[in-house]
Amino acid sequence: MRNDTGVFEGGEISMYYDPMIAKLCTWAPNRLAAIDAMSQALDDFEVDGIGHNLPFLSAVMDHPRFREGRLTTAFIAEEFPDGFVGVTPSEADARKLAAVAALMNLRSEQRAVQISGGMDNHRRKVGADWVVTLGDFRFRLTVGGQAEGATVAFVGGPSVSVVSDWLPGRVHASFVIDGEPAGIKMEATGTGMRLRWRGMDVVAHVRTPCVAELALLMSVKLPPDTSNMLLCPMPGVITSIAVNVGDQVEAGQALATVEAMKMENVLRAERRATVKRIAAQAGLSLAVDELIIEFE
Amino acid sequence: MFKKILVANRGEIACRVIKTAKKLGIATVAVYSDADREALHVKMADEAVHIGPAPTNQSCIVIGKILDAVCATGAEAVHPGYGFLSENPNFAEALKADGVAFIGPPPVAIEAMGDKITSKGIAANAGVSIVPGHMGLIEDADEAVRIAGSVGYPVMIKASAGGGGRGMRIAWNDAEAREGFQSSKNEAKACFGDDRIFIERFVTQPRHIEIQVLGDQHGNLVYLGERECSIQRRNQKVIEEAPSPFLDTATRKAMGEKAGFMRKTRIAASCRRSDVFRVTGRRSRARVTTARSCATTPASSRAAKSRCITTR
Repeated sequence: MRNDTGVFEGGEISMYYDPMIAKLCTWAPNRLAAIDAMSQALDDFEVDGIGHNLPFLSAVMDHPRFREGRLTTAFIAEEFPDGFVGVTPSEADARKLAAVAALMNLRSEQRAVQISGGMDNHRRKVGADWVVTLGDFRFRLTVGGQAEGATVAFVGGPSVSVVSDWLPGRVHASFVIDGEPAGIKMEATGTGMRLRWRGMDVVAHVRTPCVAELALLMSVKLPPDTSNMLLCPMPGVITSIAVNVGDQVEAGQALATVEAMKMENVLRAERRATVKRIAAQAGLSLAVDELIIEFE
Repeated sequence: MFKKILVANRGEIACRVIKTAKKLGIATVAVYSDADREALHVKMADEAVHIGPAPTNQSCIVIGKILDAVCATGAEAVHPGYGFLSENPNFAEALKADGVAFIGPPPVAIEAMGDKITSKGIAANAGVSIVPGHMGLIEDADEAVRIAGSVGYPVMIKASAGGGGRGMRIAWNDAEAREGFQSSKNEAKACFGDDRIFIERFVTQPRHIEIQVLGDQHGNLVYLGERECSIQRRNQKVIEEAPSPFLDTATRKAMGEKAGFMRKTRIAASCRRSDVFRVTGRRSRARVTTARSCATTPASSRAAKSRCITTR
């Protein structure tokens, strides 16, 4: 494995130059082994504070068509026609991540009950029964802790063994899940734990059965509706706006042109709509997701 | 061997060149703009010269500033890295006039291969199969539509001076040809200051396979195997691998020899310096044309010894 880069810890990445910050390279005796080595290296590679394509690269490494070597220059356009929004975990992967979350929760809880000043004969006991929610998955499970890890028995499903030296506060750790190594990144987010692995980016909640029942009653906050807006897809300069307020536009019609990285990108209408407001004008520099045009 | 070289680049590539120079016992000079005062390549190099404000057109791609830095430090050669001045024949010419070695192909080769229309002509003369299309320049959108029709859709509209995926559009019909001609032209003018456009047949299911070629002034030339770069976004490479999972031994050899032959016919007469040069950016023209024409060859046996996957 080799990592060629021009940046260092504490270094500044300037906006003036090419956004490529590192070239990661792996070698192995055959193609699939090289791809697997790359997968692992990507799982152990962390870039924080900026947007980056590590999860996308992981997704490509696991993509069946890439692994078969059926490549063309249209690979990304054909395989990710709607862009890349992260890998959705399969049930098997969700179970693995749930087991990892259960082990992390066990370690955190075991540390929490050691707080000083408590009455020795009244220490809280960490239970074995937990409910893990992860995306659309909800698992009931029993956790049996051991020195190096835990055996996680899913109610109505298999048992998964997890071994790791993870300790609360660490943001990356190596796990061995049923004998398979996995490098996973984690961070606490609200009451949950965000886990990133193989292009998946999920928040796991580990709750006692009682709290899990109550959590089901919590309402879900919906993100604001942006379907009537044309947002800038990348940081760039608006070079032209092709429509006026009140215009009716057809699907496929050019709306605006954005220049980014010296490339002209024509933004088109996804469906028929009427222009209500134009928020940007030619010459304006916009950040990603800034409003350009609003429709009725 | 040189005693001291100047690296006219920044970031990852500057660091990589400096590392290799260190191994070879060659002293290095870095150049930096205001934005790169604290950059890694500046710390790694033996000497560093400030060349101006952050925007590239006021520092990194100003030939005069690099020449001043060469002069001030007494560097015997310049490694251009990739991008910036690496494919600029005026830069190679200016160094030559000052008696400083350019670690790269000679100016005449850069000029010839940098221009897609000229390079297609050279490839055709060298017996390399090329993508069919209109080899001349196109004046206006109406002519573009007419030519696109006669070449047969889908077509690729390209800027002759283009590179790095810029100034390139695919058109599947007349309306797209008209629009593509205009946006290619605009982009080419903005990026390269040269808005000459040509049209060729768009190869469906194309792969991007490059052949690395290394030569010296004595006419020795080797090809270093290929690199598959088909995984691209907005025409920018995202993943590279070597060897290509597609090529068999015979195709690999044929492509390598054709790429080498194409280089040789062009460079033999023009290279005078005693240094080994790496044909960096310009190689891609040779390889793109060769590679795409080979994309229709069915793959058969695989004879790969090692595999290398690079992500960027």
